[in-house]
Amino acid sequence: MTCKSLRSIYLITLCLAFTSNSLFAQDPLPAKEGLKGAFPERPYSPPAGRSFPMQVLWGDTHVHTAMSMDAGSFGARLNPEDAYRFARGEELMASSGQPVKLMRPLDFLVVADHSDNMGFFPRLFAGDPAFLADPTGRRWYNMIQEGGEKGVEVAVEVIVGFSQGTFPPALWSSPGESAYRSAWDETINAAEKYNDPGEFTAFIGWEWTSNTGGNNLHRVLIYRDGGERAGQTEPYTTVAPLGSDNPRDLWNWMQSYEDKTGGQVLAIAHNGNLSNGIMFPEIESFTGKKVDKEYVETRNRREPLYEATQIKGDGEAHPFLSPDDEFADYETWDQGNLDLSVMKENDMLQYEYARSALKLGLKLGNELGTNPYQFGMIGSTDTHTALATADEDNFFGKHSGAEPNADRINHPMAKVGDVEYAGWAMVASGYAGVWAQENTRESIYEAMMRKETYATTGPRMIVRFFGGWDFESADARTRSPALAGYSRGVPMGGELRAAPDGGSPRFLIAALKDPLSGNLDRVQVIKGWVDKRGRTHEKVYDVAWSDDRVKDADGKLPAVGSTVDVENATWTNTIGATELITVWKDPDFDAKQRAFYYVRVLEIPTPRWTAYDAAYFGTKSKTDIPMTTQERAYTSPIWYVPE
Amino acid sequence: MRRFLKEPLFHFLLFGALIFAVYGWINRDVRAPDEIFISKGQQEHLVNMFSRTWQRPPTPEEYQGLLRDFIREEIAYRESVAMGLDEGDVIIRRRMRQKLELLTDEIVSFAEPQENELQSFLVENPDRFRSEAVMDLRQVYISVDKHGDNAINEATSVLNRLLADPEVDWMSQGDVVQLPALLKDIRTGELGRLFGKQFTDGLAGLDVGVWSGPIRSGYGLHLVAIDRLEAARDPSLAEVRDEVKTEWLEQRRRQATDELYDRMAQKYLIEIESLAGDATG
Repeated sequence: MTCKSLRSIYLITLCLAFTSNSLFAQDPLPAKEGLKGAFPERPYSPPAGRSFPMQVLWGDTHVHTAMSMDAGSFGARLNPEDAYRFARGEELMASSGQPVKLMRPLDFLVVADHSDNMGFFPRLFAGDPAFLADPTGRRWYNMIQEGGEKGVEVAVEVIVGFSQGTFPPALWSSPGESAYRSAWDETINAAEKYNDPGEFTAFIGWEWTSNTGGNNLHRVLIYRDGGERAGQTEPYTTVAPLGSDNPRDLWNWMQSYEDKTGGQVLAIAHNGNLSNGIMFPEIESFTGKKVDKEYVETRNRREPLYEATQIKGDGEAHPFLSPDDEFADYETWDQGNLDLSVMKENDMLQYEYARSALKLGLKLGNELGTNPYQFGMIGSTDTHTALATADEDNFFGKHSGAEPNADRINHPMAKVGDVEYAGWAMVASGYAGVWAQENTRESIYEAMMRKETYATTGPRMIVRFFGGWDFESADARTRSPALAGYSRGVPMGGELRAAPDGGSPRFLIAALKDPLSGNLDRVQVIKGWVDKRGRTHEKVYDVAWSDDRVKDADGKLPAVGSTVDVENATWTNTIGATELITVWKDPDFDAKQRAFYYVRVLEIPTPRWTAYDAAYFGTKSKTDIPMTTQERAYTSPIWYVPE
Repeated sequence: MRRFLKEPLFHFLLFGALIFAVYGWINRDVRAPDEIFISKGQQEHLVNMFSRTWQRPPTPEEYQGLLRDFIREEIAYRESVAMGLDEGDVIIRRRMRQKLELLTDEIVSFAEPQENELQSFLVENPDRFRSEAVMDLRQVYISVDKHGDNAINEATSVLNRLLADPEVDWMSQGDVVQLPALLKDIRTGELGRLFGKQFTDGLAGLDVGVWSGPIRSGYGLHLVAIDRLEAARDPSLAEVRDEVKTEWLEQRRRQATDELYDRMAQKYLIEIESLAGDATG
């Protein structure tokens, strides 16, 4: 029986005088712009009527489902609808057959399946004859039937085949084909169904998976629009002639989408740690030439945010690049590129990490007039399980084969030839905090565009960061530092210009702990600048800390200590602070030099997910692996631009 | 048995059987088994499929090619089924199962629940549809960081001040924190996201209109005054009809699938070979 004959059943049934309304009555109405006014803003705190963003909304911009070809072969069975249901707080059965639920729901979610070959696995799973006629397709099918590890091997072959250009053409579906369209429609429909303005925002999105040579240049695309616009075109892919692996072509596609539909779409660059030196180029890998005006202007406009932390490693800073930063080596993944076909060289690192890219951006801004790497920070999971989990005690892993089980801390997460990604190295990270007026697609999208966002490695601490010229320490002693912040300064993501004579920028910084997570250890400001000879520099300042600690003779703040009981995976909040607020003035300011400032908030040590696993399953790790973690938040920077 | 006849599931299955029968009748093969007939409709379908892929109609040569290919497919299908090639093929088995289950889903989705069915579903599952409590709340924060072991004493003395003088400037009491002091029309869920579940649990049973506490949260201690409380309540069907219907259909779908398998399984003698004795092997 084909789809066609199913349709004939509908007709017959209608003839049998069933009411047809019921079929359509269940479909929720798509979100219309017009509905926006129907959901009055709920003031978070009086006085009412202020238009500042007074709430931080939590979300994940990067979740894959079974629609993604690699997720499907890793064993994911959950679809986009499941991903949204899970994020809004429902209990689901994970692909590995265990119940799972978030401790706290998220406020928004982007299902970002790979645009290349979207819906590949559902097709293979459904036994599409075209797939089985191909010897590789047949072999993959059989391996998936065997399940478990064999399925993981397929996923690895899929990724390698894709990045090395050896993917069998017969197994490929492209925009314009009906199989592709139905996968895209399913993605859109899921978002439309669960988008609930004022309560939960379901963004439409996808991931552009430029991966040539295994170097990860992925971008997550997020629409401001609903299905009526997003559905007018199909996602951009990386394979010629329809697609391209060059980000410039992606930006052109974004432009043509906006021209055609009147909609809006933004791109978030994937954590660059697996790009082997090409995520933030000075010399474009595609041309071998230095980036030009067009590149820096387009990138600045199209890519407002950067994914600074996720399951495949933390990308804020690297110890090689920041030897003076004692916290730079956090969940570092620097073996090689995504498929480990090329190992990492030190000279690649500066083009991969957020901090070094922000520095390079200042330099290019001086040279070309526009800073291409003027991005805000978000964290997201990039999970391939459809489950947006970033809590240490509720972590469902990178892919469905790495969902909680007794072995996953001792087992490779993925293996390519002789090289492997260790299971324990997965990071239970991260989420995106967005300062938005209301929980709608439009409001969150606007906040993303103005970069009023921050990244966390999972906990939901509340972080405020304002820059101005006249903040006083009294501004830090109020209940609502945001009032002073917005009225006399710019929020995170903003720019400071026009330094008053002899003035120095002052920053109003407030961090409040996550009530369910660790206390706060310290708040730091990270400054980057470019000197008059064009060289870039960075410095980390401790600006507020807990427990009345005193800096030593070298200006170093002693460690906060640890209360973690690894064996039982517990800790106590007897050290650290509930809240840290301060006004900090840059002591080394030079009004002629471009600079950026961002805030890093550190929690006290708490058990890492590996400790929760070991305690729950009673397994021992075979090697010495990290069992505690210091979770953190990275705010979007505030830039100083000389006139 | 009487009860069973009243069971809506039974009706689904009955209708299902009817649909199968009617479908079979309409699609009954009036042609000889060794005849391949390509109807006008099928030809149109071939042309449409081609046009959608290539954005143009097929040339006469291509059209002949489409027909030739269709005939081959039909022959291949019939011959391979006759040879039993479909047996034991995981893909075909799974596809068949998918279709069968999809059919059950389709049948259930046509059901229009009776008002009384929705009503009893709502009554039987109050937790799924209960509205959240909404309240106006004031809170005064006592920092444990600041007061340490003395925090409880501090909280008690602030509480006494608040109770003694209703005119006191409550906002200036306690310690300053970024948390909102006055919350209007806030739902329990939102409150939980802001202060944590420990806090919302602590609110349960507090009197409305007076300062009480301290209650604990992940941040420290709080004195609270609930000024208005709209308790959680069980909504009427009219208020949540759409949600109830969605859930009802979902449950029916699951039940129908289970029922389908249970009933079909009755036709079979199912025997599972014992694993015992394999231990040595």
